Amino acid sequence: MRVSRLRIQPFFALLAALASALALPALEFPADGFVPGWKPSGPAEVYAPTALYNVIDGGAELFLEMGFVDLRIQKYAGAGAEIAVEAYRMENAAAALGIYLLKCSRETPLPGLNERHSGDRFQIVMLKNDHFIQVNNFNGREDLLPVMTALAGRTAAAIPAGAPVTELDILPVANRVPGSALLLRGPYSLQSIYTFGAGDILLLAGKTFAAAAVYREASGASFTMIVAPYGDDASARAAFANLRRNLDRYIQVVGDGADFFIFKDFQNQFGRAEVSGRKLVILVKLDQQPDSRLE
Amino acid sequence: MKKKGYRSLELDSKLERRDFLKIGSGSLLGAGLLLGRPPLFGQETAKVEPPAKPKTNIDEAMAVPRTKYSLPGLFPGKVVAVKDERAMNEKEVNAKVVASMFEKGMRALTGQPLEKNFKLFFDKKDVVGIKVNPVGAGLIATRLEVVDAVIAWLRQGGLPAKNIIIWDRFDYMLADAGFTAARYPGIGIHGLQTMDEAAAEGKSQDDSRWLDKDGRHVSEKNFDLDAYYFADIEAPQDKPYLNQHVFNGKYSYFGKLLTKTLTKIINIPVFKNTGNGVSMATKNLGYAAVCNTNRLHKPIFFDVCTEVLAFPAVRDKLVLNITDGLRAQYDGGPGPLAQATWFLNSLYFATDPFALDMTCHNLIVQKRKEMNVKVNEHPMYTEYLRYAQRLGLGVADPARIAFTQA
Repeated sequence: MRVSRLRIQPFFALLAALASALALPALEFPADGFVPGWKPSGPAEVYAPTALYNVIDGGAELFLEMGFVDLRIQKYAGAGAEIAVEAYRMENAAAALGIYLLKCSRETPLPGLNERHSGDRFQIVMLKNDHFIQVNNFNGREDLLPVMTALAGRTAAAIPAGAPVTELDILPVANRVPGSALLLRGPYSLQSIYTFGAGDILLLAGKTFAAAAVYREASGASFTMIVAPYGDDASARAAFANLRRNLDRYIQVVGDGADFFIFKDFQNQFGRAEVSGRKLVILVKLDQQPDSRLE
Repeated sequence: MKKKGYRSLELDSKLERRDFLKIGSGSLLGAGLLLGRPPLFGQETAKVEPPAKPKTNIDEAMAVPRTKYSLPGLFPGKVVAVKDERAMNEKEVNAKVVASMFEKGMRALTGQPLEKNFKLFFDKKDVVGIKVNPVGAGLIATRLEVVDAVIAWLRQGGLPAKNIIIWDRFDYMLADAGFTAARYPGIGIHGLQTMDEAAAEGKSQDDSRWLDKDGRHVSEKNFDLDAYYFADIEAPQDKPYLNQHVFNGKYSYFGKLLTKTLTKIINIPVFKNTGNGVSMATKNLGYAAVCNTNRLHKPIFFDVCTEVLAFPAVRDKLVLNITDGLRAQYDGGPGPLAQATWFLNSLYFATDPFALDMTCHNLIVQKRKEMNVKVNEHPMYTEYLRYAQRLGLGVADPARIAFTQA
């Protein structure tokens, strides 16, 4: 009886998730005349996770890993051009922030937009609660920037505000390089900054958010810190063991203990991993071999 | 979707989803999980070996005797860059400057003037295929002006127009990027396959534009069932995949254009990234000379760029590579990302595509650092180039690459 329930539960969980997604009100894209002469070009397209590969083949994995729910695309026509608004709804605000940070190398804000964003005449990327929004101007015409801005602003306005994301708070603030923080949730996001080995080596499993950032000390030396908080001590230990066991051949362990190890990588830079309670803390890209213990 | 003519500097409004992302081009994500081969450290601590690489038929390719023109070609390890800031800006491409850059680069590569170096590579009976990269038409696709310079050189060397064929994997992309019969009268324009975009995206249930009445892809006949790259990797069995990839078994067949028609190939990729790696000379052919490629992305992504080029249909015919870096892209590739493009205004010349890609990889890493883009320099992103060196197909060791600025 118990086995049967266990088998059935995922099915109902899936149904519940589906029902929940369907129950959510559809995002309201700006209607005709949000800017004179501009109007929607055809109906909005909606893509579920299984269809995401058809839209962003080559990039879907990152969204799926981070927690993708659905994508709505609305194209607009006017002034002899076309602009497309893509609204990626993610599992939660942290997932949306994770995608935003990974997609946004250097934030270049535009006037007139209140939400966190970055943009230019080709594209605006914006963050609002659990949505990651892209406004694409395939034409690149400078005179269309006000239209893009209006679309971004109005699309964001239709999304309710959410609670602040706290997943980055696990990182120390002192000496952190502004704009360097990232959220990681699996191998695809991790590889944007470092490769330890194959697969989901930190056992984030698309569930646990790790945070990462670059730090620069007064001496000028810099390094990258990754902090992964797991649900309990045992999970953190398991991730530590998995990392230690599956380091690839380009990483050489040069010192270790029961709860830490120090390594040298292919660029002769050093790293240190330590498990402490339910946290796994990893430093990489250190110029000098670190002490055996975290300070 | 309505097709429009080429507009050289303006990112055409028809540059949409497919142009950005569904080209079957390199996935940074697929690339990421592949592990390299040789240890850089002699002393290793206990660890789990990476999963065994899926079996391929690379040994069959390596067993075929080489020819005079086999990779790495006439100038192994030699890479020449030509830079001219006048070549391109937001408003225009200066065809005269580009032609001059081409002449300068070819002279530096071969040590001979343009009017003589044609004979190094071709005779008048050759049928020469010019492999372009039309992805990102209007923004970062191969510039028509570069192709013009190459064609002018071939024609001046005595090659009839009918013996020149501009080609790529997808027919509609060539048209989107401006490679049309109207723009190139007398020159062949050839896509190895067609694809129904609406059906692939699930917007249409009408498969008649890509499936024949027997349920076979209409482009099957364009591929040579006797010349294939085998990889022990399953392909998805769904219709969208078949629509985009023609076949969905464990065989990736070479286009008949390469096996039956072309006698030489000139490769003109674009200077751009694919995740932490590059999508330039070797990928421009590795993922275009054969069909049924998407299944290969995740398990053996970059190795395909080496192994497909090891087969005679490419290895013995690819005589020249020119990486178009007039407008280059350092991030967001292989699809176009306008804000990550810049006017590099450079062309890179080599017979050896592996030396060329290694050189350009290092250049793009440098650019990514300058632009504060996250950089992961793990060796796995260039391991396929060292693999090619071990196979004798090219030079990947930077110490052995002769890189000069002409």
